[in-house]
Parts: sequence; C-alpha cells; structure tokens
Amino acid sequence: MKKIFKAHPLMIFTFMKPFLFVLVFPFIKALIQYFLDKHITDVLSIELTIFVILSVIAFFRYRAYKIYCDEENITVKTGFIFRKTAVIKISNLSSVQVTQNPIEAIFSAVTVCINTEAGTTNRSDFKLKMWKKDYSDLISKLYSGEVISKVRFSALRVAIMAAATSSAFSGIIIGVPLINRAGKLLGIGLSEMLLEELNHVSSKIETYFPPAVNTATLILLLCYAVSFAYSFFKYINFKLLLNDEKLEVHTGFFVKIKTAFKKTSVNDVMIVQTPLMLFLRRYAMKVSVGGFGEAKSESQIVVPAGTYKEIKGDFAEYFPFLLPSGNSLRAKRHILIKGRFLFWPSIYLLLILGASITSCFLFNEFTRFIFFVTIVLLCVVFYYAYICLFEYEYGKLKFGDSVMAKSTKGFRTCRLYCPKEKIGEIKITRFFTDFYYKTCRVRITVRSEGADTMRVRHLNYYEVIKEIYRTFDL
Amino acid sequence: MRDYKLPRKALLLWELRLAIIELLILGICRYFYLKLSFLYIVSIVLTAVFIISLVWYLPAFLKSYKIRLSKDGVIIRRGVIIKNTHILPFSRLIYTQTLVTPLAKILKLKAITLKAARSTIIVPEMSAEDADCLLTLLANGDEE
Repeated sequence: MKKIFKAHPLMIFTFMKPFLFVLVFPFIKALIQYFLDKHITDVLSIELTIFVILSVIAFFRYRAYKIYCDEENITVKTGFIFRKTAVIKISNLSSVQVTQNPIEAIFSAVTVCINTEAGTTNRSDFKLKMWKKDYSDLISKLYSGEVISKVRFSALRVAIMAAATSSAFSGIIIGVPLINRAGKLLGIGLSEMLLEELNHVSSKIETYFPPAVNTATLILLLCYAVSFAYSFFKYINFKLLLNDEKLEVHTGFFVKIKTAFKKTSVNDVMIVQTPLMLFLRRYAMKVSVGGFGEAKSESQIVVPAGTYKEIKGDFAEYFPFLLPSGNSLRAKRHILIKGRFLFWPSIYLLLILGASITSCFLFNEFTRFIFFVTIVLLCVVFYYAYICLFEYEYGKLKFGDSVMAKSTKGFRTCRLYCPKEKIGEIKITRFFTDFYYKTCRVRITVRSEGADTMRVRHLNYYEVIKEIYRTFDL
Repeated sequence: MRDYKLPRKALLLWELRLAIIELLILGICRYFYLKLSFLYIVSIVLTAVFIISLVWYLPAFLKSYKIRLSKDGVIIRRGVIIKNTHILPFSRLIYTQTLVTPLAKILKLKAITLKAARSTIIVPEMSAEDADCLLTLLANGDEE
C-alpha cells in the first residue's frame, strides 16, 4: 500500500535560510526601525517585495515536497517551478539519518536525510523536515521488523571514545568561530579577553620551559577540552537498536541523531584503536555506509568503546557474515624484516636528534624551547616506532568471502572487515628492496564514497598473488 | 534491446531556452552599452553564436543523441564536435530522477537523470510517454 508523507511547515524556514543574512535580518531590522523611529529606509519596500516573493515560493516548495512509499520503492517529489521526481528502490537505500534540535523538538519536527550511494560527499540525496510521527511510520515502512535487542552504552564509554577521538585541532575549528560570533553579538572583544587571561594564568606557572610554551600548552589543552565536550554531547545517550536486518544508532543530547541502515548496506567494518585508547586498552567499532550526507565522513560509530573481548563478541553478533575465513598472510618472522618495519622511525630519530643538536649550537638563547620541541618530537617518533612494531607483530591479511586486513593507519591500529564483492581495488606495490626480499605492500580500497583503505606491508608477494587469484577466480 | 531518440519537440525546447538566455543577455547589454561600449561587440558575437547554434549545432546535437536500452544496461551516445558514450550497467544504477521545467511541461516533455555511485547521466527531454516507458524499463531492468 502506498503511503504519502508530507513535509513539516518548518521547511519554509529551511528554504528561507540562505537569505537569512542578506534579506530576512535586514528586513526585520528595517521593520523594527520603522516602529521605533517612524522612519522608512529606501530599501525597505524593495526588501519587502523580495521577502514576500521568496516566502511565497518557499511556501509552495514546502507544499510540493512529498514522499511516497510502497513495498518496493520510495518516491521523492520536490520543486515548485522545476519539479523533480526521484524513484529509489528501497534495497538501494544506504541509510536514513534523522536529527532533532531543541527548536524542532518544540514543533514535533525532525530533519530526515535520505542517503544512497549516488549522493555527493557531505551532502544527502534528500533532506527534509517531517512530523516526528510521520518519520516513525516511514522508518517502519523502510526497515520492517521488530527491534530484537537494544544496547545502551554508559556515559563512561562515550567519554572514553570522546577523549580518544578529540583533538586540539578540531577544538580550534569548533571553538574559534563560536568565540568570534559570541564576541560580535555581545559587542566585546571576547577572544582578546580570553588570550589575556591565558597569558595571565600561564605566567603564574613556573616550569623549566619558556612562558610561550606554557601559553601554547594551555591553549591546546583548552581546545582539546572544547573538542571533548562537543564529542561527548554529540555521542551521549548512545543506543544501538538492532534486529536481523537493520541497525539503528541513537545519539545526542541537545541535538538528537538517529541513523538507520540495513546490515547489507554496510561497506566495511573497522575496529579502531587510537593512541589514548591504546593506553586504556579499549577499541571502537565503526561501520562505513555508502552515501552518508551530513556526517563529515560516511562512517558511523556502532560501539563507542569496549575491551577487545567485548568488541570481538559484538562484531560476531552484529556482522556474522563478515567473519573472516581463508589463510592468514603476514610478514615473515625474521630480524631483517623487523628491521625494515623500523627503517623510517630510525631515520626520523636520527633527523630529529641531528636537527636539535644543530639548532642548539646555532640558537643558544632558545635551548629550552628546542629541548621542549625535541622531547615532543621524540615522543611522537617512539610512538611511531611502536606502531611499526605492532604492524610487524599483528599485521595480516585474510582473503575469503570476507576480506580482513589488520594494520595501522596513521597513529591508529585498525582492523578492516569487508565483503569481497565490496572491494574496489587491490593495489600491490613493490620497491626495489621488495624484489630482493620477494615481498610487497598490499593496499585494499573499499568501494565506497569515503573509500576506506588499509595497507599491509612486507607480505610474501607470491602468496598474496595466489590468494587473490583464488578468492576472485582470476 | 530498445532504442530511443529525442523528439523534435526537444529541439524546440532547447531553441526556446537559448532564445530566452540570448534575449536576457542582449537586454542587459542594451541597458549598459552606453557606459561600456565593448558590450556592443559582445552582443554581436552572442547573436552570431545564437544563430549558429540555432541553424547547425542544436539540430546536429539532437540527431547525435541515441539511447539504447540493452538487457544489461543503458548506453547513451551524444556529441557533435566531441562524441561521448556513457554506459551504465543496471547493477550500478541507484535511482532515477525526472525533471519537468515549466516550458517542458507545456511541450509535454520530461528529462531523466540516472544516478549511480559517483556518476550522473542526464537524458535530456524526451516525450512524457517515452520517459515513463524508459523509467518503467529501468525500474525492472535488472530483473528482466
């Protein structure tokens, strides 16, 4: 039976949003001015005319936005002057994501993003505001079946994940525009005040290092705290609802996000361990679903943090069809191969030591600062060496109906599980040393918009070729 | 296997669109050319382009458009100066979208967009019946 879903009236404001700063706000300002001073600005009449025209168009666009849903297809009709009709097979849907901010909660509205693999990166195929009850009906039509189990993750596990995935850089991206806007709205130099306060606090801390280092450390810590708070409130109330076919993830405190997708839409599953998680002996499980829109990437966290045993159990329960089979391919256990893994960390170590000793001789007055930078860089290099050793010890590749790659990515340790039909590319690279050792580097790219990749180094070339030929019937 | 061609009405629609754009640009040039005299040359060049498009390019472009629906996918050939062939297997087709503009609605035409992962193929205005027929075939394409 075909069911029709209409858009929520808040959609009118969504259509007016691009004109908010150039038309709506100046118009309201001019209107207030008229009531206060009884003075009409010259542009008010033009603004009023354009405002009315745009409001009328927005209203008709809202009226035209409709979703028709039957057993097989979902039809989305949009546009008032330029009418668009999209017919999507339900089996081709990647995910449906719904968000609700506090304003939408007041009006019982939700923002629904319908995603397919055909969508462009960082943009949903279709995005509309719907009534909350309509969304529940839509989701039950698209993903039938009762929820079998519901997993709620504690605030502590979410905090571990938030702490492990936050960074000072993301804190800067979130915090700086916020401080600037708040300062402009309040009419005070908020950023200057903050910097002054930071300078004041850092000058009180007495360390061996120069005050500039203390200030920079404080700024970085503050940015990290902002990033942590953002991630924590984004992922708090983490719930996972699942049945045989679908997975639904609920997150958020102020802005609530629900993401639903079929297990078969999953391109790959990644079990990740960030540096902080390594110290806490925790892992996170992510899945990559084609065509995620609003998210920065197309991955969705399924388990925020858990011990290896917990994550392994969860993986076997949620994605039994991805359990790897086939022979394990790994780097040969030999001192020379181990040395090859540690080649770049050794080079970096020598470079850092050389550069810092030279700098100390050249810039005598900055020795404390150089010492600080050297310590930081050495920590990074030692961690990199550890990561390389991890790759040597645990890095492996398994080809079967499901392909498994375990290695490192940047400073994270990762395990990638992917159905063999979703593999986009397997790239085998051999350098001149690889010819001598009969080894190769294998890079696996998953067919998805974000294209998750995983590289495993120094595997036996002939074994890799044999396994690839066997798995893909070449 | 089934072949489709674009109707003559599609040519009329393109010509109308081109005429509207040309008139708009000429109007702007006319308004400003007392201040910016080079606009006079711009309008002459644009008129020449418009006439060439109307007389030669658009009819040739319409003639070059060939849509073939095979059992495995859809093949679209087009182009006058640069010839393109798009092949889209049904297995990679994610969804189809139709677009009707006010002018196309008057002429009873419909444009179709075929969306696949990382690629989009646009089939310009076909007659509404042909478009519906093509959409039905595309919807069942991989099952046939």
